[in-house]
Amino acid sequence: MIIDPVSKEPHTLLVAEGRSSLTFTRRFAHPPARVLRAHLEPAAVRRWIGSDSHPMQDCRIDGRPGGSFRYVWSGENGFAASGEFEEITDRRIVHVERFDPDWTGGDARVITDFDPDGAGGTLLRMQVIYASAEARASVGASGMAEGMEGAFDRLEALLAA
Amino acid sequence: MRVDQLPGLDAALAALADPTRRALLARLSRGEATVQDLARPFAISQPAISHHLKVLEEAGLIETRVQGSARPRRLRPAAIAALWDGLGALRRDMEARHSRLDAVLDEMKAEEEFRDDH
Repeated sequence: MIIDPVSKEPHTLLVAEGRSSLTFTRRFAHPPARVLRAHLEPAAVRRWIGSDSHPMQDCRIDGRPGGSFRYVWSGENGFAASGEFEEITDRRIVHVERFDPDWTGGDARVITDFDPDGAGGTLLRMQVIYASAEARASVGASGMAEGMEGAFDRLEALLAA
Repeated sequence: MRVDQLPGLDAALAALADPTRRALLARLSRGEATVQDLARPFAISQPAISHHLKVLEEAGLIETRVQGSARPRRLRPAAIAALWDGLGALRRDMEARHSRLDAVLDEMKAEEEFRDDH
């Protein structure tokens, strides 16, 4: 099952693989080393994982194998994420993450690969492995609630077709 | 056919709009549970939890299993599968995040070049 975007390049592709994982892929016009660094430096992370609607008020990263991280988003419905890095190489980050409040059905394991795209850029591949097939399904349900407006748009398009 | 005439959809969306009910679904995604089990982590009363469960059940998202005198609740996998569309919202969130990353990478590049030149 592939959730494919309809518009603009470059875009993020989402594929539901196996029974319990989701994989996002995206191409970046920057080399793997820089894209990887933007995943481990707090000054960079808080600017792209945080957003205007959910600013990241706290971002602590011990970017070493065995190191931990903690992100806190402020805003009306503030939430947090924390976890540990299992593996960090020039081309790969593997970490475990959990949210507070929990909306991913327990710990998820995330494997992020930073591969050269052959043109000086990076092909990012992030696989999120949830605790179970049911956990993945409930993440989909939460996404629908959060993106309710968009869901209506898509449904209207579907019904009009 | 208009969206608001689709049976069940309105109820499912309304049910999912509440954070407590989403947390209850997340808990049930780890397996069936009784009202007592479900109420334990929440700072609200058992009747309030029962009300939330009733909303979820009427929306077709969960069901009650009869087991002697126990009434454990569980997810309805078919209904949850129908909500796969929610993944479209996750994808858009990630896309927005990656667009911000593009901008951050451009600035990192500029900083690296500035450092190399000085």
